[in-house]
This record gives sequence, structure tokens and C-alpha cells, in this order.
Amino acid sequence: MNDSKLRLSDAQYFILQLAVFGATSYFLYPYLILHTDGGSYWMPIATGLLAGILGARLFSGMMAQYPGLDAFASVKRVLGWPGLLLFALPYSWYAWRAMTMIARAHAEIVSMTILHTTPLWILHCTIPIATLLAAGGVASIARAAAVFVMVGIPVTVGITLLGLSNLDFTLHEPWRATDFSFLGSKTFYTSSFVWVGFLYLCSCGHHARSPGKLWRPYAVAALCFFPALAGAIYLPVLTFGVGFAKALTFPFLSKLDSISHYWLVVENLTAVFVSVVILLVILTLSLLLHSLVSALRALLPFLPSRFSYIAVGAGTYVSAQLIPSWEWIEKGIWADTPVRIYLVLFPSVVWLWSRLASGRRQRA
Amino acid sequence: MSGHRKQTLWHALQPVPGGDLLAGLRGSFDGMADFEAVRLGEAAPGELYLCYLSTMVGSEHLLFSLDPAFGEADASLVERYVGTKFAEGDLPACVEALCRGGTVLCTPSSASGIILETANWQQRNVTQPLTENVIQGPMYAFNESYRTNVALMRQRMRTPKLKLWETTIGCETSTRAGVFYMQDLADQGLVDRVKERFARIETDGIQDTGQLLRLLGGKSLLFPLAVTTERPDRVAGALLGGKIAIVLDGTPLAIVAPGAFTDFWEAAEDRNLMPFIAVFLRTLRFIALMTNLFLPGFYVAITSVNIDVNRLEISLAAAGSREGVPYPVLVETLLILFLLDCIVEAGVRLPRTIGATVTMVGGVVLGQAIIQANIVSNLLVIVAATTALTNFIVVDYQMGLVLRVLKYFVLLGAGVLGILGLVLCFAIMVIFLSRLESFGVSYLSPAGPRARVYKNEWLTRLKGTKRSKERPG
Repeated sequence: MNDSKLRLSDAQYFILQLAVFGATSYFLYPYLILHTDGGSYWMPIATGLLAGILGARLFSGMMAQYPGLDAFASVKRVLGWPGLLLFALPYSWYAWRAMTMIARAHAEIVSMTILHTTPLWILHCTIPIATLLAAGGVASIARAAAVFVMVGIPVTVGITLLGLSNLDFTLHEPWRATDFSFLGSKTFYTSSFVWVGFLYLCSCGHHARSPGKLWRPYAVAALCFFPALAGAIYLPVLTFGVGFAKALTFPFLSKLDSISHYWLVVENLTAVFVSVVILLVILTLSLLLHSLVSALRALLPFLPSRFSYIAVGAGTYVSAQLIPSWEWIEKGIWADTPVRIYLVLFPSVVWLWSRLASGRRQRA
Repeated sequence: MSGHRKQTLWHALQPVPGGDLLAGLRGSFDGMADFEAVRLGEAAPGELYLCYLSTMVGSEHLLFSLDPAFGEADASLVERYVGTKFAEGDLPACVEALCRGGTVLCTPSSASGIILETANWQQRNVTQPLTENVIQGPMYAFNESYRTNVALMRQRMRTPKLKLWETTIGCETSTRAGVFYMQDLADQGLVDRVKERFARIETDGIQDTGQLLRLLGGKSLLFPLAVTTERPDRVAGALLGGKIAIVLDGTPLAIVAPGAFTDFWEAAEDRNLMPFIAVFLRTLRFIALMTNLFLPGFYVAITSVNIDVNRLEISLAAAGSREGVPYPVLVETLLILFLLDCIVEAGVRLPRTIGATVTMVGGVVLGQAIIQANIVSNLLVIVAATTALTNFIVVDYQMGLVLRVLKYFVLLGAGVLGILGLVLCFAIMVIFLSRLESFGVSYLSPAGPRARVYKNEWLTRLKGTKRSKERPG
């Protein structure tokens, strides 16, 4: 069956979105939120969530203008080639950088926590695996997502729940503080990479029955994942205290290291957690890879599909290999923040332009 | 015999200029020791010959005689012929008919002959299934005869809605194949797709449904894309569920398509059991499947790569049991799994009487000796035994073979990357499965798009509000 005739249900988009949250939320997000100003951590999380839902709403509004077309084709139809260049080039940059960062960050985490002597070129095998998945198309990704999420999310949520032991609720007060000073923090804007997870819809959104409602699965997934996300920040704080949690590079993983129950067969929960999250990472990488290939093929339609996947996969592998350190990942994610915000706001330009154009047509 | 049939016989045997059917048949079957052209006698059109392959015809079908004394041989022939249906055919038709056990009545100068259905094919009786044990259900199975298998299906499903589309495969073997489907229940697109794939088959011959499945265009190099079964009740259940079934002449195994991964841990008895029991058994089989695939790898991971994952007591016990073993864990595990697979293969290939001895020698003597010689650890023998046991729980033989191969892949992954390697191997397998489609339907059904969703399936039952009929499949 042709991929263009493929239909994805809201539940399938929800699953994909859940996987994206699972893959992006644990490696840098707790550190960034803990370093926002103000100290009331629920506020930057909730603000990010609301901004994400708003962004998804804008994005699905753009997708709804031309149902059956992906975002690149829609933009091209509204704004022509200049518009496509203004959208697809930054999008390609975002997707490439996001893939590189996610793959490298997880390889670094694996190297630091469970496989200390294994070389990075082996740990980056997530990229070729994701390439294999992406090359299968959206149908293949959605099927694998169902299995990966079915395995990955219960394990991550279960391990998060295990972290509820040994908490001291006096270590973080006041709970209900409403301090908006986090809006001035650089780290708050850097943390936006978690909330722009809907950008993969550029290449997959047109498979929805009603693209205008695509923001709903995003919103539901974000709300469902909210407790897990809050847990990733609050569990270390309530275990180690704010000061010590801030000093840790991976506060949540350190919290997992501290969990010990006599009835648990597994002693090193971090190893299990990191290993299972890899499933979600592979899925997210494949979504981004598919999006990047779609963007490139929108710009260069003559590119053969298989070659594009191999080239993008190889390029990502090499660039992940070239990242020298963890600090570089932090700086890279911060540096990409303007691109992410630009891509989230771009749909409103498309929407505005098409409204103006239709107004002109009506007057004529 | 009716006048019309008399005329047909008479007309077909008329001599025509250039007609040399008998010579043509003799030429075609030259060098075949069992080809016989028996001269029956003289009749009005000329000399009458009866041509057949003596190994394939039953003499009880040829109940007619010729008595030239009466002077009306043709009339005598027609009157006293007691046989099955007959038809007229030219040289290619006669050759084809002889190959499938027919008999050709002809004269040396006729262009066409009378084809008599006299086939007496050697076949097994209908017996109990040999590869699928029946615990609760009908105690008979398909055999190698296409007609018998079709008859068995017709006996189980007495409805004109059970459609049968027939074709032949193989330029040389001309093997008959039939596609069963239920009108209004099976997706017409699926039926058309199967017919189209049959039309695309180009082969000299076909021996088994496994070969047919590959020829039907499955891209899988490892996983079987459809369930094969010798149980008519399983096929009937699948047909009522909207699937199709393919029967092939010469094999007792029918193909049930489209197949999904979940079908391979469903036994035919499941639908005869109480729902909770069936769910329990399926869960058991699934856990066994996972154990079979990942247990050796998990052992390698926690004893050689991620030693800190396990509780200290277990790690110490594992290390203690390996005391004196000179090899790395990976080599030790590969060695025992290789031995185990050799024992299993020997048990399958050898005659049953010797098979038991091999199991005894392999399992007990070799197992005991290998531990005492410090070649492998006690714990690993337990792991290997559990792996072997769980392999036999897998319902489908083909899927069992796939798991036997894949566990080495998982083992290598675990040997290199430990627990992470297990997860990555799992991911790769899921990705391969997610890319597979069986006759246009997702192999990972009911997960993801293009999943096969029928009205009987448990996921649909959970979602559905109204369930008017039970449709097993």
C-alpha cells in the first residue's frame, strides 16, 4: 500500500508523542529546570507545557489548511519556494542538531553509568538502528512505537514510582510559590527542546484524519507525561535537597542510584532505566530522521529515498561522533533555542499569509 | 449411456488427416517404463488403444470390454463402459491427463482422444495430526491429497459461502493449489491480492506450502509470514475470522493468511477453552518465547558485562558456579547452546527409537560430564535446559526455528553491550517485524497502522460495544 494513503489514529499520534517525551525528558531537562531562577520548579514545567500546547495548536492549524499534504508542501503552496526555503532549511538544521544531541547525550549517559569502557562509536549504534526504522516509513515507525512505548513507558514510570521512597518533603519549600523570575533564565528557554516534540508532525501530520486536531494527542500526551516529568525534577530535590541536586549533572539518574529495596531483584536500576529509555530514543531519532529526509526531499525532489536515509544516517553518526564533550551538548542545545522558537512561530506566519491571500482573492 | 455421450465418443475417435495422437503420446512418454499403450481391438474408426501410466491408474475404473464377434464393437464399447466422467482432449491435454493418472482411449489416426478419469493416487488415510497435538478438538488432519483436503473443509463448513478458487503452479509439476475464503467475511482486496500473486509465480515445480509462501512474494528472510496447519478446525476457524486458506496438492499443511506475530503463540485449542484459561496459556507461551530468546543473553549480560545490575548474592553465586571454568562466559554459553541445538537436531532427524538414546546420551551423560570437566558452570546448564524447554512451548515449528537462530544474535549483543545489548537486539527485532507485512497486513497486528482487526479479536472486543456473533480466527 502506498504511504500517502496511510492513516494514523489519534491514539497512534499519542503514542508517538509519549515516546518523544520519554526520550527527551531525562537527560538534560532536570538539570536545566533545577537551574532556573525562582525555585518553584512546577512553574517552568507548567509554563513549558502550556507553551507547547499552544505551539502544537498553531502547528496543527497550519497542517489543517491543506489536509493530505505534509508541512513542507503546505508551506510551499502558501508561500512558494522562498517560504519553503525559510521553513525547510531551519527545520533541517533543527532536526539534524536534535538527532545529534539526543544520540550523543544518551551515548554519554550510557558511557558514564553502565558501560564505562565501551567506545562511543559502538554506543552510537542507536543511529543506524533508527535509520533502519525510519527507512521503513511512517507505518513502520508507528508499529514499532506501539511496542517500544508498551515496554518503555511502564518501565520508566515504574522506576519513577520506586523513587517515591525515602523522600523528605521539607527539603523543598515553599511548594506553592509563584515566582515568575524563571522567565529571565536562559536555562528555561533551553528546556524548550522537550516541548517542541510536536515538530516531527511536519512529515507525519498529514496522515491524520483531521490534521487540525493534531494538537489534542500532543496535549493529552503532555498531560499524561507531566507527573513523570515533575518526578524527574522533584524526586532528586526531595532526596538530596535543592543545593546538592543542582550540583549534579544527572540529578534523576543519581536519585535512581540511591533506590534500594530488599525485595528488588535488580540492584542497579539506573542500568535498567537507561537501557529501556534507549528504545524511546531510537524511536525519536527515527521520527526526526524521517522528518529531515522529508525536508531534504522537499528541497531536492530528485534525491532518491534510500540514498537520503543512508546519507542522513551516516551524517548524523559522524556529527555525533565529532561532539567532544557534555558541555558542548549543553551549549549546543542552548544555541539552537532561537531556531526552535522560530519554527514554532512560523506556522502563524503561514496562517496569516494564507488568510491575507484568501481575503485578496475574495476582494478580487 | 446416453446418446449424446455415445456421439461424443464416436466423434472424438474419428480418423482425421494428419492425426497421430498415439504416435504423439508414445513420443512424449518415450523412456517411461510404466507407460503402456494397450491395443483393445478393432472398432469402426480403426484400432482402439488404451494409453495410461500403469503406476497411477486403478484397474477397477476400466470396466469395459470389446467383443469384435458382435461386429458392432463401438456400440459394445459404449454400452459397457462403466467409469468416471470422461472428456475429449488433444495431444497436450492427453499428455497432461496421463500425468495425473488419466487414461486415454484413442486410435492411431485420430487427432484427439477420450480422457477417462482413472487416477488411483497413493495417499495416506485421514489420521490424527502428526505435527500438532490435539488435546481438545477434532482428531483428524489433512493429508497429501488435495481432493481429500478440500472435502474435509467442505464437510466442516457446509455453506455455499465457502468459495474455492483453483489454479496450478509449476511449469513441470502442474501442482494444484486452491484458495478458500468466505464470501462476505474475507476482504475482497485480500483475495484479489492473493490471486494476483499466484498469477506472478514462475517456477518449475513446488513441493510444499513453505516454498509456496516464499513464492507468493513475502519479503521476509527469517520470520514465517503465515501460519501453516494440518488441522481443518483451525483453518475453518480462521476462515470464519475473515482470513483465507491456501491448500496445495501433495502436502498436508494449509497456509492461513494473513499472519501476524501473535498468531504464532495461539494454539487451535485456545478457542475451545474458558477465556481466562486461554489468556493464561497465551501469556505463558509469550513469556516462554521471551525467555527462550533472552535468557541466555541475560545470563551473559549479568555475569560478564553488567555484574552490578544483579543483587550481590546472586552475582556471587554465579561467580562461584563458574569457578574453574577456563572460558569467558560468552564462549561457555555459545558452546552449551551449540551442543543443545545439536542434540535437538539429532533428536528430530534420527528415527524415534534411536532418538531417545541420543537424548539420554546428550542430556544426561554429556550434561553431567561437561560440568564435572569444568567446561561449563552448573548455573549455565540450568539456563540452557530452561532455554531448550521454552523453545518447545512455542506453538509453531517454524517460529521455534526462528527463535533458535535469533537467540545467538541476542547472545552476541549481550556479550558486547550487556543489558543494553539485549535491549538493542530487541529493538532491531521489533524494527524488522514492524517492516514486515503479510499479504498487505501489518505483521505486528494489532499494533500500528494497517493492522488486521477482525471482529473476534480481543482488542476489538475490549473496544467494541456490540458483539453480535462470535467469529473465531
